[in-house]
Amino acid sequence: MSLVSGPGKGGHVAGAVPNELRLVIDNHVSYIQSLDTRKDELEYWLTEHLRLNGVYWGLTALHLLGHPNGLPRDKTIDFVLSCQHDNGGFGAAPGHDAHMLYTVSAVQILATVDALDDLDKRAKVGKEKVGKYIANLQDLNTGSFAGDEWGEMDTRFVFGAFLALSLMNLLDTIDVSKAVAYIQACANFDGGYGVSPGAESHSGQIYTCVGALTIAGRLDLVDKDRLGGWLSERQLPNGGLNGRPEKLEDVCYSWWVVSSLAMIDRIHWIDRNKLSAFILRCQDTDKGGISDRPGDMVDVFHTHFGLAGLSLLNYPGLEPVDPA
Amino acid sequence: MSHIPTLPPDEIDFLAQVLAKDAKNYHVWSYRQWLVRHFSLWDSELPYTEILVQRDVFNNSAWNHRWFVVFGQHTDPTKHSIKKNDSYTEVPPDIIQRELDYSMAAISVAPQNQSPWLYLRGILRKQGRGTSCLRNFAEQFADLNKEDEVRSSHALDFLADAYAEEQEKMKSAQVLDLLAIRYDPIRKNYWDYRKSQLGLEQVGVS
Repeated sequence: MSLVSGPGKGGHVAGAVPNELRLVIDNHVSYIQSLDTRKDELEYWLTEHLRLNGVYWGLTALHLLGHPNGLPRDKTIDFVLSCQHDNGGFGAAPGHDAHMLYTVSAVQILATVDALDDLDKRAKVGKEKVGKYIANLQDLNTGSFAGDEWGEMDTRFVFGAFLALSLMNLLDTIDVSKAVAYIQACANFDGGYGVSPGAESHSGQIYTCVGALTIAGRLDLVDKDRLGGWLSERQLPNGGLNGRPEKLEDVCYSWWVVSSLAMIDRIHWIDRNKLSAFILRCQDTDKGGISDRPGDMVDVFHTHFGLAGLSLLNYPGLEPVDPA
Repeated sequence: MSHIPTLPPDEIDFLAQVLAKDAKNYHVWSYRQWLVRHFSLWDSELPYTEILVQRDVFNNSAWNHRWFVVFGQHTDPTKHSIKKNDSYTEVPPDIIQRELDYSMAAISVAPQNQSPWLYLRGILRKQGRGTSCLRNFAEQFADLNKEDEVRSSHALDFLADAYAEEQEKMKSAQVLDLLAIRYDPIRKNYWDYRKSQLGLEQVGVS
């Protein structure tokens, strides 16, 4: 799966009149399938450090588009397993160092193709040890999680740990309440959450904090009205969403903001029609793919998050998605 | 990370150079926060945030850093609890007033700017005060008697709460309608929800 940008460009939309905007499902499917054939491009190799994430985004997007078999299942599983290290963790690609982010993607991919059991049947290292790799990244002082042995802390890693472990039914191997307390410490004066205590509220980090609290069953700790109000303010007049006050709109926030709102039951606090129209305008309806905003090149990351956002908004023709 | 005993001499300047090019870079700010906490650089940071806000009053990262510098030093992130916003040292009243004055001045410069309004509300909340104490201030930017001349939807938002606190529910509803219909219709459902929280009889469908 290549993470190259292009060749399509968002905003290249046939029938630019709003009521003619539609989701070009088949073109997006072809676009995603074509990504793994672009091994002759330099960018394919320059994005190797994100390869496993890329597979997750492409695969999930295909599922949302109603094409679950769009990527060859066996090859996908083989690739995932080839990224595993002896300590249970996964790297972004064969030979790349293990890290929480790629371990989470690995678990998500295997869960999506119903192959989590392959971890015990075929993998170098089984489910329990994968779980241990993740659990060992918890800092028992603060409750937070590091990304790898080098110690970077980020609420994304807390969410990633909760997500992967819950998919493998191993959530009880970590100190959930301590991690929850850490998330509480990341709650800010404006109702949002940041990457660490005191860090600026950011829609992406909010998604990870609210997602983790959802998995832990502790949404009671969220001031939903205040957070919902802050999240609804992410919508700009053009219908798109930004990540923080006074920043530009970006299609990926269609997922992070909208899923956060969905988890706190306030998805109706943004204008769904305007957001859908914005996402559709970010397509290249000819070559397929979605970009961060009209005029920029498409890529699989924004394609995935744009589609996920549309699914949450109940756009017809897409499979439903769980916000957590 | 605790293996660095002293602050590398050029580090803060280096970060300032980077922020001069990309003033809202999330990673740089979070690293700067780590440095501030680790080396107790609290006092020198406040002037820096003022420079950044002066350059761009809309820089939400700078506003957040100000909060961190003023209030965050009184919070130990490892001694958190499940309760909301537990700080374990008080901030003196003259500092509180200074912060209120600072945010109100920034609002006066650019009333349609979310950051200082959030900052202002944050301080009031921390003090356990509602918004009604500053209703006169907010009314400079949004006056129900001059509906055509509203200068800030955030002022309307603020006043909706202020009037509700003072039991002027009809006035609060009027403000919320102004937001839903005219000044911030994209968030209509949110303003309608706020109206539903007032506990008024359903007068009619807007």
